[in-house]
Amino acid sequence: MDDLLLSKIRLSVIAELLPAEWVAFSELQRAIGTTNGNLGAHLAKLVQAGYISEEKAFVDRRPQTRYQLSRAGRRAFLKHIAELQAIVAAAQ
Amino acid sequence: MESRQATEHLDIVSDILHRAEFGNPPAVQFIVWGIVGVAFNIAGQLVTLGKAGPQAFWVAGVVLALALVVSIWDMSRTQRAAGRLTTIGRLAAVSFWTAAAVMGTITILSEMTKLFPPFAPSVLFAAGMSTVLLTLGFGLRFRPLALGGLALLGSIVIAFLIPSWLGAIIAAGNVAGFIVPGVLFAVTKTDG
Repeated sequence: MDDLLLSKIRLSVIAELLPAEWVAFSELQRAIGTTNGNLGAHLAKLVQAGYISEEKAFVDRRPQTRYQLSRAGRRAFLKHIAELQAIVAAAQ
Repeated sequence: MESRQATEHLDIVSDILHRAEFGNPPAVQFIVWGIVGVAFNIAGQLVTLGKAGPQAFWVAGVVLALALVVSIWDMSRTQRAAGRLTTIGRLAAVSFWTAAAVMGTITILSEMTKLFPPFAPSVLFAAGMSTVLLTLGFGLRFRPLALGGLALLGSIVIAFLIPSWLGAIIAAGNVAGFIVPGVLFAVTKTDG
């Protein structure tokens, strides 16, 4: 199992990013329903692991931080999901 | 990890993917490009019936140009408002723009060379757009897009059986394949 993806918040972040080109920090926070600080800490871990990348942009003259899933993140996520499915299948 | 916990994690992922990918289809894109399809086909029908000259296609061309502007504006607005750019949104917009560029080129060439019959641009546009819908629909396993593509493709096939009403039938196909799903998407829009 991928220890990094055992956290529900980090797993949710990757799942939010999977079908998107990018997602803004504010949108991730709204979708996942967690605090700024908590989400920021989880995102930092994912960035550090190379699972996601961070980009700063300006939208309507306001700063926006966007996140994008990396290839490594996508691979790790798919492997993790397969392992979760195997656990469920083994129990049935 | 226990099976119960694994199931819970899989459910979280499943819910997020379903909401994120299919929660907010690009409704305006569908409506706008449906209107373009209707404009070209009504133009083709009027020309075929002798109610208008080939200049009618230039009016449809203006509609196409306006659609391109609205489409780009909507994509930019949607991204800003949603704080995300979904893969389905990007693919739909880029596919529509590509089909529109090809359509515009063919219309201009058709007008300049008179090489194609009057209804050729509208048929080609419908064929291109149905290809876009079917590719996106089946590729992303998104049923409304696939059904829209099938409706439009079906209208092209029926139109060839009743050629005198080709434009009107394909215009109806555009309404069924683009405008109706677009309106439904807009009405049932979620916040996710």
